[in-house]
Order: sequence, then C-alpha cells, then structure tokens
Amino acid sequence: MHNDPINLMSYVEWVFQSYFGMARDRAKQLMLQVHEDGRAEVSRGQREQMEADAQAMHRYGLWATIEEEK
Amino acid sequence: MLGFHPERGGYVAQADPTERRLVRGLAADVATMLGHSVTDILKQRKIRKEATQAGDADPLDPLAQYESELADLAELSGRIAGELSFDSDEGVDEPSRIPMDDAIARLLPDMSEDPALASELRSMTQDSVAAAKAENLATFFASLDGDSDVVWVENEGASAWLAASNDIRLVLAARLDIIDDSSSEQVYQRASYLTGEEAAEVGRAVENQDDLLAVLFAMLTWWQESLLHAVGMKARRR
Repeated sequence: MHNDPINLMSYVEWVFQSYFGMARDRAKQLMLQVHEDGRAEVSRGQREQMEADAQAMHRYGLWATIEEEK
Repeated sequence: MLGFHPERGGYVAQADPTERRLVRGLAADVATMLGHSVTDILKQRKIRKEATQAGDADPLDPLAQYESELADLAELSGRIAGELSFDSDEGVDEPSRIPMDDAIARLLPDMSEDPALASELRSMTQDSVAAAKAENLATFFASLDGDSDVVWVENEGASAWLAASNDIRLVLAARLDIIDDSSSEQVYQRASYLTGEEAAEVGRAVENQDDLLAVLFAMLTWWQESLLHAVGMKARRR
C-alpha cells in the first residue's frame, strides 16, 4: 500500500476494517505506518489472493501494488 | 450543506439544489472518464427492479427461465460473432486502454511496480475495476438526484458512497495538482479563503474554475469525513 496526500486517514482506516476485517486499533496502526513510511505491507499470500486484494484496494481508490517475495 | 448523521437503516445529510447539482455532475463526469454513463446504469437498475417487482424474472416460472437462457444464448452468439469479425474498431494487437491523463492514472493506477506485470494485470482487471467504480458513482449520483434537500444513503449504499466520493476527490486533486501535503494544504486554504465567514462579509467570490474545484474538493472532503464518522459511530454502537 502506497501513501498518497489525498485519501483521508479515516477513510484508509475504514477500508482496512471493512475489507480486511481488521480491528480498529490494527487498522489505525497500519494506516499510520503507510502514512509515515510512505508504504507498508498490508497483505501477504498466494499470487491469486494478492491480485484480488490489490484489485479491491483499487476499487476503493487506494493505491496498492503486488510484489514477489525475495 | 450539513454533514451525515446515523439514522435507522442509513445516514442522512443535507445539501441545497446547487450543491447537489454540482456534486452529482462531478460523479457523472468521473464515470464518463471511466467509459461509463451513470444515467445508463441507473436506468438498468430501475428496469431490473421493476422486472423483479412485476415477477417477470420469477425463478420458479419455467418459461421465464427458458427466456433468460435464450437471452444468454443470444449474448453468447453475439460475442462469438464479435470475436470472429476483424473489422472491429479496436485494433487486435492494441493493449488494454492505457490511462490517458493524470486523473485516470489516479483512478486506475498500476498494480505492480514491474512494468511488464503491471501491464498484464491491467489488461486483466482494468475493465472490472472501472465498472465497479462506475456502479459506486451511480449510487452516489442517485443519492443527490432527488427534489429534496435531504440526502439519504442507506446502510448498504454507504460503502459505494464513500468509495465514489473518494474517486471524485482523486480526480479533483489531479486537476488541482495536489501532489503532497503542502499542495493539499494550499487547496484547503484557498477553499476556506473563498468560503469562510470573512469571505461572505467582504464579498469574496469564486472567480475561476480552479477556485470552484478547490471549493468542491474541500466540501467533498468534509462530507466524506462526516459519513466516515457516522459509519464509525454506528459500528461502535453494535
């Protein structure tokens, strides 16, 4: 997940809660990590699942990319 | 304009006719950029709803089932015919549509930082992401299309409304060149300079398109935030 200057922090938090089913504290912590570090890993798994997750994030208007584990 | 608050079954806000017209116009524009028409989507929804109410598509009616299969068959043969014909407008070797400008690039960004993978994923997913966004924008549009100043978003529509308002903000931000926190702050300052209490006293007004876009951007931000707050309040009550 990449940081951007437009999406509201509360929106990113809400997306994490509603799509990934994260608890509020966890969603907030991860949102802050994206905001402060510029990017953060929000999901990890098989390629197909990652494609589905990235696509879902794009539907919400959040910028996510997938990368292979080194 | 008044922010959203939770009600039974949904969320309520208020917007005057000008606000509703401007904001739903933006929703229609963003859908157009994505290659869709909100009015077509809403027409389709209405037809489907009426069909369900009239019992046209009653799954227990064997004839109705047969008819729907015929429609599927017709669509399938149409697709096959389309694939077999070579006089299509789109070139056969043309890759899936590439985002045309900055705003489209924000709506449909790459899904990988590896260009080859990004292009592969784009051709697989772009159309369905664009279609999902257009559906959200249609839901958003419909909430502002009534005659009343009361804006109603049902519980089931809140997610679409939030995503649509976010997409509109992404497009406005691209037009306003918001690239970082400081350019974002400038836009909010401009909006409050134009709409704050002092602005009304001294008769400051929106003078050009950028002024208007800045005001709309700040307005939508505030409105989206109010719905997020209301959704959060409802979630915590459960």
